[in-house]
Amino acid sequence: MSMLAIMERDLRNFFKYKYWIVVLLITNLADLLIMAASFSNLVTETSLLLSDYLIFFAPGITVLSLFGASFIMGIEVSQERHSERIHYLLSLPINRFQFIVARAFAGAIRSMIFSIPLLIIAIIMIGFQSFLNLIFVLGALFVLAMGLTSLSIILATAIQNTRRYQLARGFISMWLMFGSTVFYPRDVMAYIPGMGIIADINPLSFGANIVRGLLDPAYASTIRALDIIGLLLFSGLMVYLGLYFYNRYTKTA
Amino acid sequence: MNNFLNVIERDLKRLWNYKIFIFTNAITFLVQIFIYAFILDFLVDDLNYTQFYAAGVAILTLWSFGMWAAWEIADERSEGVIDYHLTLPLSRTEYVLGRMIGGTLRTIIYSLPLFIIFLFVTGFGSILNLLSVFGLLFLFAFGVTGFGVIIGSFSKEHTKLSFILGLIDAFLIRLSTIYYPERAMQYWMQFISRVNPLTQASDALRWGLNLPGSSITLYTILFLVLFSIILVGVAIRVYSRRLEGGLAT
Repeated sequence: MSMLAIMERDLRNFFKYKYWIVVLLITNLADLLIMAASFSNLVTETSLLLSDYLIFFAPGITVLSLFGASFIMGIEVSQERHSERIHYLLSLPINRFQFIVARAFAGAIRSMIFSIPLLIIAIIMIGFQSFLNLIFVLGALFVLAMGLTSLSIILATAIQNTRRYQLARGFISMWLMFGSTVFYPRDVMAYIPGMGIIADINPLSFGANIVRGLLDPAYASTIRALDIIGLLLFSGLMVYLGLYFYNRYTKTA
Repeated sequence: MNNFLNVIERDLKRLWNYKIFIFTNAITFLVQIFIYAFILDFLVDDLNYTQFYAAGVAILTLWSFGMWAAWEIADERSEGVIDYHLTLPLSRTEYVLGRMIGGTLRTIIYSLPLFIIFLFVTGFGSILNLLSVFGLLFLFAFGVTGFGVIIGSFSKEHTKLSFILGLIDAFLIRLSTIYYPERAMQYWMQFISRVNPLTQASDALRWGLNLPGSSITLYTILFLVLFSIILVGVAIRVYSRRLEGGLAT
């Protein structure tokens, strides 16, 4: 019951960032409907499973929006430390473990709420093969959201210095965004030495490949065992480390 | 004159206050050119996309550093620093113009190392063309700083400011030739792109670098000159009014 109260609080808090959410959503929509639509008129390479860049990018932007929303939780945790609101939160009669798990869950649900409009647009553009696939898509997105929310909590709690935190967040965001298959196919990335490996160890690649393959039969072959195992491993590890770091941080706060 | 220079000097001294912002922006610039654009280049046959994109991102860098003025002005308004500035023995015009020139010079200094790296990627044809374009880009940076000052003068609340700036960026950047040439856009996008300062600045820079298919017209030059004059004029008026409620003296 106490976990539900924490989750409810975090979900309510999410809408406190309404300006931020609207801008992020509009930016993601502009990326898809203006940028990708225009760029697809430029793409001439069709041999690499890329018949239409817009269709290729639609699942990618869904995953990217999930990532953007997940990282809001880290920013919130970081702000709680500065405003010392964390002391109030820790004084509540809630088991610390439940408190931390509830926050990770709430972060993942918030990210799902945010990325659903983009998923709907992707489905309108691409269509979907079956309801079972759709359930798998939602499941994959939720697992990814748990991992990314936990990663943002790890960054916010493991790095106490604000400037270092901002720097680390910037670098990790760059790796996640530009080193994944969100914007381009893995085969094209592999033309640059090392980029194929970077894409293969990137959680956004796992998510983008799975969602792309489940929605569009043309990309079904892009789902590899590595993507499924990688996604589960990444999220499992991040949730575990997130619990460890947040717990350690709340003991010293 | 001395007061005016003091205001510029103060703004330049604050150059390193934003070192994290400058550093992450510089790294993002490099990653965007050497990874993002380089990979996308493999998908586009009839255009050197890395060069095209590098020119666009150079303008984008100038834009985002120039727009930083909005945050600075908003911060000063919310922190009450402006009250202190108003007690200084200098005229309102000296103060406002000094701030804007200081902000523009800072934008140029921030962007210069990135422009040098960018020139290695694109190369250039004629030094004369390049210098004349750099003159136009200075004017553009001045106009962008003015735009930042106008927005910062109207909103001191961070949430609202990031909302306004986010909306402007979402549409202005994507409806310009920063990321793709005009031929890739739909008709309605092309129409907006032609009245977009980012398109004019990117096209001018691509012409200055002698990139294939680039050209400059009298319209581009006039547009950038007018854009800067109008925005700087409006910025001086708005900022002066918002400072104390009176016109510039």
